[in-house]
This record gives sequence, C-alpha cells and structure tokens, in this order.
Amino acid sequence: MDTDRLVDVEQLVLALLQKQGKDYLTVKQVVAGLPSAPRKRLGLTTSQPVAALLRQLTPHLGQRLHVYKGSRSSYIGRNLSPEELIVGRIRQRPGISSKQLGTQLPLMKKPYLTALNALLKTGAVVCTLRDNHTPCLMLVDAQVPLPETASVESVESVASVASGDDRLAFKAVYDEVGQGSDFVRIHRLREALEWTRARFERVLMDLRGDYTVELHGGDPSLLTATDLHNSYMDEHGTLFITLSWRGRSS
Amino acid sequence: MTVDRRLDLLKQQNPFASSSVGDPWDGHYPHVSSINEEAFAGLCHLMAQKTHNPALNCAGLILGEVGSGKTHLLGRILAYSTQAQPPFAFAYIQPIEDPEQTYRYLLREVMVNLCRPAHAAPYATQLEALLAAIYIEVLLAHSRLQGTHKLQIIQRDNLNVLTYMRPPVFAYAQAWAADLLCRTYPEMSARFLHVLFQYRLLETRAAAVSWLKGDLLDPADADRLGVPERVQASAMRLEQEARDMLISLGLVLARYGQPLILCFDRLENLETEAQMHAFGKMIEFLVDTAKGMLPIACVRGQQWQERFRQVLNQHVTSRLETNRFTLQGCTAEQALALVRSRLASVLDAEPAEALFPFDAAELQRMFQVGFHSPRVVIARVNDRLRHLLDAERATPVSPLQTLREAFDRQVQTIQRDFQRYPPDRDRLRRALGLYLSHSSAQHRFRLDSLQRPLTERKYIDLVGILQSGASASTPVTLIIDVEPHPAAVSASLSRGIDCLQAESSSQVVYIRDARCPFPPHWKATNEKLQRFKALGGHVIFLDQMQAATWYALTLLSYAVREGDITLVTAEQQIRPVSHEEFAAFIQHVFDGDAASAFRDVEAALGRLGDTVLSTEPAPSAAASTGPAEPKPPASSP
Repeated sequence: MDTDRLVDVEQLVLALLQKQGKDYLTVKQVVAGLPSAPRKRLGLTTSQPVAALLRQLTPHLGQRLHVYKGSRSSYIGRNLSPEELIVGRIRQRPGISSKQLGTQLPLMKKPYLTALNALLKTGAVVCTLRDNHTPCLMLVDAQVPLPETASVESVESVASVASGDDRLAFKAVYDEVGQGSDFVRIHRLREALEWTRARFERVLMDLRGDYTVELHGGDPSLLTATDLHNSYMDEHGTLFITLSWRGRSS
Repeated sequence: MTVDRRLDLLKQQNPFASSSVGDPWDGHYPHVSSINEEAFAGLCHLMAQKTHNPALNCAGLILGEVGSGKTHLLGRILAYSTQAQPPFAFAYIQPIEDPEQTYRYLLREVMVNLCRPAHAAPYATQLEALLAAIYIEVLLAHSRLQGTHKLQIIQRDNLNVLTYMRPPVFAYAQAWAADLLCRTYPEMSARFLHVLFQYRLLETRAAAVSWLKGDLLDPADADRLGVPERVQASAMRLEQEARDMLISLGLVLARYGQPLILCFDRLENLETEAQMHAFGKMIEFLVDTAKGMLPIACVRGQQWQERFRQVLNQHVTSRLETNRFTLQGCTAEQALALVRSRLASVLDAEPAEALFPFDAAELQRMFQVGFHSPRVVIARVNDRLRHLLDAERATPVSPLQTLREAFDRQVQTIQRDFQRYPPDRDRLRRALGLYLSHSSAQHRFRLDSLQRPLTERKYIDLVGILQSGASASTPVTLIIDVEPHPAAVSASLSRGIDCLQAESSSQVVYIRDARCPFPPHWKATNEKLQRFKALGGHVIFLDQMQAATWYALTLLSYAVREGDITLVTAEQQIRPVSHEEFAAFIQHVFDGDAASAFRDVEAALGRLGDTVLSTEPAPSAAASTGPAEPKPPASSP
C-alpha cells in the first residue's frame, strides 16, 4: 500500500510539472495542482503551513523529485543540480538578468551564485552588459540570431534576444510615428518597421521585459480589423493597442 | 488569528472584488504611495503653486489607459486635500450632458461638491470652511484684543468658529465682509455673498444651496433669501449669472488660500463635438478667467491623442498639456505592495504574513515581466484568491452578473446618501433614453432610436412616433422636469397640453423626480396638471427607489463607456464589458419586470396596446444643433 502511494504521488507531481512546463513549483502550487482524491487521502490542504505539507509529502516524493529551499519559499521539482536549473531557465528566458534569474530559481543566494560562476567559467553561459549596465545571461548555443526566414510565429520558440540595433530601430520608429505622443499604436510601429511578426514581437517582449516600454489596452473600437490584427496579444490573451516608451533608447 | 478565520474573512470581504474606484468620494481602499508617485507629486506641486499664487493660469492633464488608476489618483488627491498645509477644496466633475448649459452645469457640480460632508473636522462641508474663513478675517480685523484672543484659541483648538458666533456678531461680520470684498474686487457679486452668508442658517441653508447651484427657486424660498426669481430669465441670462457666480466664488477661494481643484473625469462619455467644446469652454474659463480654481482632466491616452486633440481648440489643449502626467503601470514590487495593502484592509496580519494566503514568489513571478496596470494586478490576484478559497478553478463571472453587481452597488451608494445626487434632468433623460433604446422585442412597444426635438428643448426632452399596426402614427412626447418654480413647471405642462391639443391621438408623458416639490398651494399649476391629465397626458412622479435606479443607470453607463467595468473570462483574460453587453443587461434587468423602476413609463407607453414606436423622421440639421441623444450604446464608438 505504501509503495503504491509513493509511486502515485511521485508520478502525479511529475505529470503536473510536465503539464505546466516547469521544472519546479512551490509546495502550495503542487498541493493545489494534485487531484482531489490523493490530496484528501494524504490530508493535504493549501491552508496548511508549508512545513506541515512538506512533512507529509517528502516521504512520497521518490528519487526523481527533490525539495528545494529558495530565498522566499520552498519548492518541489525535478531532481536537478543548480547548474541544470540555471541552464534550463536561461534557455526559457535568454537575456535574463543575473538578478532576475536569482529571484526565479528555487535556490538560496550563495549556491546560486556559486553555480552561476562555475557556468560562466566553463563558458557554457555568457554574460553581456546592456546599455544600462544590466548583466544579461545567454547560453552559448543560443547566441546565433535566427535567420529572418525562420518566421516562427510563436515568441516562445524564438530563443533569441533582441539585438541593440533592433531596439534602436524600434525607438527611432516610435519617435517618428508617435511624434511626441505618449501613446503610440502598436500596429503603426509594426507596419512601419516591416519586420516579421516573430522579430517584431521578440523585440517588443524584450523591451517590455526590462521595463523599457509599457503596453496599454487602448480603445479597440477606434481600430479596423487589420489594425487589431497588427496590434499585440500576449500569452494571457490580453490585447494591447498602444505602447509608451519608459526607458532610455538602447 | 487562525488560518481558517483569516480565510473566512477574505471570503466575506474579498478586498480584490472591485478594481474600479467609481467615485473618489466613495473610495475606501488604501493608497500605495509608490504607484503613480510622480504624477501625484506633480499634481500636489501644481496645487501648492496655485495656493501660493491663485491667479496662476494653469491646468493639468492626467493621461492613462483603462485601469491605470486615474480615478484612484483623484481619490488620493482628495485624501491629501485635507492634510495639505493649507488645505484645499476638491470637486469631482462628471461629464457634461447638455452643452447649452455649460456654466450652469459647472456651477452646479462645484456647489454639489462643496456642500458634501467634509472629510475633516471641524467644518461640516467645504463651503462652511470657506464661510468661516471669511468671518475670521473680518472678526480679526474688527475685534478687540479679548475677542481676537478668543478667536485664536478657537482656531488653535480646531473648533468650528461658526458655532461660537452670536447672531449680532454674524450681522456685523456679514456687513464688514460684504463691504470689504465688494470694495476690493469690483467683479464680486454682492448677491452671491448675500446668499452665501445665509448658508450658515439652518432655516435658509437648503434654499441658499439651491440658489448657489443656479436652480430656479420656489417664490417663497426666493422671498426668504431676498433674491429675485429666475423664472423669467433667458437661458443666456442664466448662463451669464452662473459664470459671474463662479468668478465670485473663485475670488473668495483665492483670497482665503483655499483653492479648488476641479477634476474632470470619465471624459470618454463626451459623445458629441458640442459636448467636447463645452468641456473646452469650461477649461478655458477656469484657466483664464476664474481665480483660485485648478482644472485637471483625466483622459485615456489614445482618446486624448485621437479624439480630443482633433476637436478641441489648441488654446485648450496647450493649456492642459503644459502640465501633463502620464500614469505608469506597476512593477512587480509595486504590484506586491498593492496586494499587501488590499489584504491589510481586511486582515490585521504580521508583516511576515502580509501576503497571506498568497505565495510571495508566485506573485513575484506573476508580475515579473513588464508593467501591469493596477486593475490587471487586482483582477489577476482576485482570480487567484478565488481559486485558493474555493480550491477549484474559479467560475468566470458573466458580463450580466458583473454589471448587475456594479449596478446594485451604485443603487445602494445613491440610496445611502441620496442628497448627494440632486434632481438632475440630464441624467434622468439619459437613463430614460437607455431604457427605451434597449427594451425591445419582448415589449408591446419598440424603439429604434430617440432624439431630442429641435424646438422647445428647454421643456421637451425626447420625441418619437408610435406606430400602431395599420392605424395612423402617434406622436409621443416625453417631458422631464425637476424645476422647483411653479411657473417653470407650468411652462413644461403647457408644452405637454399644446402637444395633446395639436393632435388628439398624441401621447405625452410628464416625468418628475418626486423630491422636487409640487405643493397644493401652487393652485394654477395644479389646475394645469389636472387639465394635462384630463387631455390624456401621463404623469409619473419618480419615488426614491425609482429615481435612485435611474441615476444609477446613467452613472453605470458612464463607467461602461470608460471601460471601468471589467471581468475575467474563462480564458483568464481581463476585458472591459462591451456596450452590447450593457445593452443586453438593460434589456434583461428592466424588460417586462413589473417591479422595475421603469414600470410607470412602461405602463404609460404600453397602454397603447400592441404598438411599435419608431423614430420621427430626423431633421437634417439634427446633428449640427446638438446631441442626437441618447445614442444607443451599441452603435457608439
């Protein structure tokens, strides 16, 4: 019976991670994501303290899962080394700053920096500085920009960071189209730049990610169907119509 | 407090249930100082400059998209208005409906705000504080040493000076003040001061407020205040009088270092160019002519760029844009601070547990990429909270339910403080138009569109043609009246009688907010009412519940148009409720509901049997002479 329960929980958590496309989740996320039957069987509720949940869950996690202690919370995830966690996250978010990466990993500060320095030393990860001196991390194999012909529609699949030239070009068009306005229509920028959708959205996401631009909802009733198509919809399905430049051009 | 107890509290008082402020006077959620800090500091600085130099010609413009916190920022300014040294007065101005009454509308909105219960002691209203300042100045100048000392103690102890003044002192003080102010400012209206001073007396306070708002007074009230009746005055004369009163008010505000900040919000509801020009006229007047008043306009960024800048005179846009503040979304840290502050409004948690029941890292991840508008933050966290509390995926709330909840809240707000929503013909007309435009199909009458008449607009609100099967078309006239003067009421009824006599089959409905008096001693007017009824006219007096519902419908329409009512879809997408959904809501809520606030209108029009009400052939000049309203929201941009 105990063996059944062990296999059951381990597989359920692995399936949950697989479904969410994550290497780790917070303990409460894991509990909330478990089907209600095993959750009840183990007497787990999200209102319990994390320590109590861990006491009940840890014996059932098996070899393929591991409990991580982060600076803010405890996590359950695949049994990976700190280096593997870092590489996995940079693969998902190329160009991420070292500080941001640290907040997103289930690691304490010291082991995180030790592992990151080791990766930098071996050359598996490279670090470049943005114009605002933010250190950005990339994997060596992701540094080669994708050719324009690879017009992948999904931003997720375009594992590259916008080049400085693209950002400058974006800002120049923003200034030209906006003529001093704080709210510039995204479709007008897209049309003026004439880039592929993937390239435009890659740059847009990059600018949004480091708070260089802010996207706004705007009023769709003022737009044609083509204008709407050339606006931007994020992964949550939220439509953005205008944007404002917040940072310096870079 | 136990975990279960805290979860229960969150269930009972979910602090993320509302992401819309509605009216800054009703705001009850805490402010997060770091959000839009720059805009807030800029506005405070502008206000400080205006206090220092009341003649400074300036205005402010707040640009921000839906949910960026425009109205919340105004709430923060309102809270600051009483803490600032010296404090300043605050007015929240809803969008203008009738551009032909620009100054009267501005005056009424200003006075309604100045007469609202004040947030800080010792004065009951902002107007009372202003009145006290006038008295204090003249008393300090004319009192002996002992009196001066006593007055200083009253001020030091933050007491209401008005309660310490005996009637003879008031009489002297009024004479001194009127003399001083009229001598110092040639443009000061002596009559304005005369009525303002009567605001302190309970027996004349209501009449004084009515007069100061520009209302037509009952003859007895006019007599009591010692002012001439306004009933014979032309529209132009009344506009001029309202303008003069605003100038006088500005001089008083400026002299006593209590400048007024006027916040124009929900400007997306200005549907016609005439309404937008009326707004521009108000801004121009407030900047260039009136002293001690600082207008601030809140507009959605794209709308400002693409609508307002194209219509408004550059004279106006340049004044507004000189002090422009663009609102910014929240960073992850600000989003978490917002969540903490909302939770703290319900739970008294230790700092370490300030984010209970959320996981800090999860929230951090949720908002780590890019800026998020405060509304998006609240909506996403609300969804997460409902998920945590119910342990299952929260069921998305339908547009109908969302609107129903917002509508019920608005009705309750109005009913709680009915005095704050005085009889308002324009808003009643909009509500009636919305109801008639959307109560289709299931009814015995249907209305494709409505319009205001080209002539007699002073008395007649809406006209249409009721078609009844094969028989001849029937003209329908709808008259809304909130005037307190019998002659004005009589004039409205006369127009109704004229319509009924001109065509015997004509249908005329006279609607009046029941708060407006119709006393038996108005003999001639009562006789006219009986005659109107005898000729087949329908009379509707809106009781408190009905009136509250009508006003709530109008205010909800403003909020919908502004994109202020949002919901989370099944795909976890946050979006504003559409005009079509609002139209469906009106149909669902009011259609065929015998208990609805529109039952009397329904009965009056439905009495005609299986009929169809259609539009009167639209005169070609309709569009240029004013708003062809109410416009069905479904067809609005």
